[in-house]
Amino acid sequence: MAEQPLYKRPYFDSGVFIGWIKKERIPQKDEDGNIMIGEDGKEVIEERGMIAEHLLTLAEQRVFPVVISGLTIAEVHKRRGKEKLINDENQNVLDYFEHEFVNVVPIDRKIGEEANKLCRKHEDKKLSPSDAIHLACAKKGGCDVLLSWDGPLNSIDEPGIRIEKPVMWNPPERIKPMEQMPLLKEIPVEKKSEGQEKEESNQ
Amino acid sequence: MSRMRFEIEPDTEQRGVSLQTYNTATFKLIQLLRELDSAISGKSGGMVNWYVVDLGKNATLTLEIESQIKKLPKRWREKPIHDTAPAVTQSFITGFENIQFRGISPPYLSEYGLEKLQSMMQLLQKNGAKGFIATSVDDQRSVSVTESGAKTLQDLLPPRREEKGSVEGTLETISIHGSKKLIIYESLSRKGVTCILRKEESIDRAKEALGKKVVVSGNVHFNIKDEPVKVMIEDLRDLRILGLGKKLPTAAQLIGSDPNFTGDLSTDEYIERIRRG
Repeated sequence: MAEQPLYKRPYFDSGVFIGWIKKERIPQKDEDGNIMIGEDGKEVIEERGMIAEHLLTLAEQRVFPVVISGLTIAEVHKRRGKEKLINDENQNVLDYFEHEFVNVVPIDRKIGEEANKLCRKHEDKKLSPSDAIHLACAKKGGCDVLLSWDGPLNSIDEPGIRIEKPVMWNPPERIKPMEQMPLLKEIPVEKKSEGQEKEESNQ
Repeated sequence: MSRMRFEIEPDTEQRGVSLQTYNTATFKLIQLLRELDSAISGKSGGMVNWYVVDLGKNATLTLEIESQIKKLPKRWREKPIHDTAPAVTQSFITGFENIQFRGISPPYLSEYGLEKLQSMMQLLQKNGAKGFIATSVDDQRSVSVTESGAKTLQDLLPPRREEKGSVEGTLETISIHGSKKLIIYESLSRKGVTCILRKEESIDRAKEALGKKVVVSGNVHFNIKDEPVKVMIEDLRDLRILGLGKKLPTAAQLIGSDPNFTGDLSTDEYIERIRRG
């Protein structure tokens, strides 16, 4: 059976972008809450920043598109806190969302209605309205996977879409960038007379 | 280069396919191929011309066409140019599959493209034509459309609801014929969405946006499958060009650019707070 790509059309949860900007490194804990130590004697770290950067770089190379929603744009904002507000970092993120490979699902009535149903459906898992909007947008965006580090959201089992932690992934070589087509130099170009050209412009 | 076979299935109870049906079907075929080419290449006239390479009549009336890249203006030759023909052929066949089997609209076609396709479909069951078959000769991918495909298309065309909203995609076409219109190829669905300008105004701003990623806001009309088909916009202030005049940052540039992005909260704590209080 042919190997399938891990991500075809991923939806990125807000935490993936925040982890990337912060270059977050999360020490992993076992079931008892103790920090896990690897075979090399060092702490086991989840390199969230690096994973997010890797996946976004693949998107920049057009291996897959990035799907987000208007809610992602709102949630990924620079906290003002006690510091003076520096607009640059916040604006950089907003600019990043303007890339051609970033597709934004608009939040409209249908998304609201779908999120309402998802909240009721997953009430036992305490799916929040915001989580439900992300999930509804991912489904509307035709995504095969919702990438998130948010524990409650990742506990949801929804048909037609995987909800899971993002991982490092190197695409098989045969997966070409989306828009890759042969270049002109490889293609025979017709030679025409002036008369033919005139005729075509009238077509 | 791409080769495509287009067949008209005759109704065996009739004497043959009427000349007008044959003529209209082939005319609509070329119009549709051009619209797809224009959407895929981002060039208003498209990148390729189609030439008849074979004609036949056995069980069906067969027309085989082959693409040739147009002779391009000198200024285009400096950049790498892509042969859009294989993608055009595949999109045409996907379009037929969408209306025949999936009940959704074809990729790339705008409202006007869909109307052209509908005119083609309306030829079925009249004047001797029972169905159309499109085949990509290069990979033998083939699909046959019948009256049921025509019915699906009829359901997909009229808008069923409208609401304030926005559509994001690439602006590919500006039309000043009749009311001023823009056609945007939506990033999410890769379908053409027609934007109709309510006010009479200069379209210079739209010209600046041609070929660029834009977002338009207005009254969005959706079809029965919740696909946006049309946006009514007040004026061109409702059109925003994304990334205009900016060098957009890359993933490598922004990683770790602000370790204090969420203040004293970790990402998990921040997400927990904004979503669950």
